[in-house]
Amino acid sequence: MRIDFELNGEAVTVEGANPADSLLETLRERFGLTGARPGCLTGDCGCCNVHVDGRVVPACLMLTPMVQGRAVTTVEGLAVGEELTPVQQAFHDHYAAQCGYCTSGQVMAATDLLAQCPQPTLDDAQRGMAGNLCRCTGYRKILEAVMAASGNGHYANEGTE
Amino acid sequence: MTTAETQTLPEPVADWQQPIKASDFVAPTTVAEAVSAAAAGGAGYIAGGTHLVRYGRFGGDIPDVLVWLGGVGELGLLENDGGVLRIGSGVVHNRLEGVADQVGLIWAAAREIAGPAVRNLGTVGGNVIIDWDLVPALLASDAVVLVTGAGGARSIDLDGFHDDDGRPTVNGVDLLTAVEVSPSGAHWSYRKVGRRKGVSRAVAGVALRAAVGDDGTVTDARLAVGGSAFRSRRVPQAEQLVRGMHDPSVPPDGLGEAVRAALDDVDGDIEGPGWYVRDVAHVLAERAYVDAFGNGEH
Repeated sequence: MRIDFELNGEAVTVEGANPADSLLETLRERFGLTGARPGCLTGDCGCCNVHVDGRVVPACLMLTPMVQGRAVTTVEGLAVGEELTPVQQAFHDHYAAQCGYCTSGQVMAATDLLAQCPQPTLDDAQRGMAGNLCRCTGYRKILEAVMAASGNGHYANEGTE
Repeated sequence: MTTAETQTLPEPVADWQQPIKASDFVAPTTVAEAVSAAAAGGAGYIAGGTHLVRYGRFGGDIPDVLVWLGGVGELGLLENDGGVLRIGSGVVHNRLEGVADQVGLIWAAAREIAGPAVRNLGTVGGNVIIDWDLVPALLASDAVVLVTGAGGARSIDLDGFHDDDGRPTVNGVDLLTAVEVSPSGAHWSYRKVGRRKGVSRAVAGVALRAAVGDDGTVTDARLAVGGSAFRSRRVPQAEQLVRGMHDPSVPPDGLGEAVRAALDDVDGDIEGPGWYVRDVAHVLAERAYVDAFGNGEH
């Protein structure tokens, strides 16, 4: 079957796909966009997060035909040239990655969170990032980065006693 | 324009990462088209796919012809009809935040389902079909399920929509089009315990909704409990105990025990054994009462 959609701002076509191929498989194997990663393949870990029509979704659970006529954004499509987004810059500045495997999914979730809730409380941030697992960081630096990117970077002073 | 050529996909790396295959993907735009497509041999519905795709990955059978409901516009409607909120079966969980002022109880349950990304994909209808964590809140909201099948449209009380094993009592062609619910009002609470704070099925989830008269006495109540190991159900004995209550700070005697007794048939599952499910539901029912009437937290 043929699927036409927008990928990181560019019109693309997929031909010959199995109807049950996941969006994650298509992005990685057909377009070489490996920022979205397979973790659990069951929607529990957040490593595969992408944006469809501006909202974060798990690419592992979304079948490729479902994006017919829609706009898909992967982590590769966030930055404008060499200029990182505030979320990406905050993840960099706050050392919010160690092995980096979950980072792209974390960044996509955080970007969606701040688009929906520009001034999150720490509770908002924790809820918004609750779909992302990290085995390395213990989450503190990730939450620091999210709060810093919002301009509400007070996490270091909250709940540390 | 860029065209991606067909490439060989890698082999699965673990037994549970089964690739899923289908022979066709159909995208109807109306309910009638969807029902007609589902009547074909080997066809079945898929909405968000957040359950079906997982099920297939774990080796479960998925339809050979996927009838995708995402393009059926009327399934995405959210409308208030004379005080009754009609929630289209295709409404994704996160959209319920927009009607939280009308159905705060249902939003309270929806926002605890899976994670934020999955809530942008998973649908109310899908959650009802598989008797998942939204169902107790819907039961407590007197939900009625609207179904369209080969023989036309009909309505079914949600309390009775699932059999004892939690499976829907409709056939594979019947399409759940919407759920109609009563407003949550001012006194409600949803409490859930899962193995994780987020992205966890409920070990037990309790939904309570009550009406209070001018003198502060509870005039009516709905209490429902659900969890991974058992069919969601209302607890009439618990509802009777809540009716007539006047003190918002102390649960009526026997409330927790009534909920515990209603789960006497529960053996438990991987999320927890039966005794744990009953213990948790007991505590959650009492907390839900205090939260619904007492400290204002829901």
